[in-house]
Amino acid sequence: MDISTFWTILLIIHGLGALALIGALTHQAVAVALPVRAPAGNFITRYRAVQSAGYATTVCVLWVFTFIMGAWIYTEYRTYIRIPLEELRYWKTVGFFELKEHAVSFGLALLPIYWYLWKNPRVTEFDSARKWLTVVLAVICWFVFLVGHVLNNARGFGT
Amino acid sequence: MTTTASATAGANLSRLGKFALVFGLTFIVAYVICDFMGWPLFTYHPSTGRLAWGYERARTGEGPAMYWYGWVALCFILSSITGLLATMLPDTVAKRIPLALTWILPLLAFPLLVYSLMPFWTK
Repeated sequence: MDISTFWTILLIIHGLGALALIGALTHQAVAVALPVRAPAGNFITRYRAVQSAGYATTVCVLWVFTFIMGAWIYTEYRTYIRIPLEELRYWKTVGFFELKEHAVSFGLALLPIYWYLWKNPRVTEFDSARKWLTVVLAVICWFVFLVGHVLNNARGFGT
Repeated sequence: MTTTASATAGANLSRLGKFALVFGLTFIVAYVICDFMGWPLFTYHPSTGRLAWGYERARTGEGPAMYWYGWVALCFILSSITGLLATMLPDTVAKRIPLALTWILPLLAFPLLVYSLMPFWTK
């Protein structure tokens, strides 16, 4: 297999992991931030009416998986993507990628407490932290997803 | 079981909860410090596949140097140690750690990291 194809496949797997993660986390964040009290009606209401606790383990697994994939392809990015971007003087693009790596690291570190809070859904004292931590993780996820997407548009593997 | 213990004890954190809370908070603080101080556990040189302990500048003709892996590794170790120590905290002490820090701390840390990347925004 061509080396460029290999890294492109890894990048696609990384992207698909991120896509699944963003779906699960957004669903959970919306459900916990805007919970519905009445039976579901339209699409938006049904979207908010999911059982949030069921997403926690999936989110953790997806975050770790996507993180590992990203950490793997990061070596290739550093050599074959970032250097050309610097030569093109895409400084802000590179800077946002640096922020992306910081943000995903924060998210990774917060997964244990996030999981713990969700595994104790009946403890009302955890409600606020559980809700806002989930929202923050969802925001981080959206941020890193969009940065990765834009970066890939600026210069993806094989370009 | 963690869930039952926590539920019956109100807001008390189980040992797992204390570990998880302190692990996350320590990681974020340590990460910001490592980023500002340039303290990776090791440096990785992707072009040559070479690892070096601590901080090492990129060598001429050997491509860039990567510090992020070293930051994450160092923060992981430090956070694991503090997290394990936190499991020994009495409940009365652990209860005083605000759970809100789990989401406030990353929000406070993020602007600092943006600032640390100032060269990218001003070039």
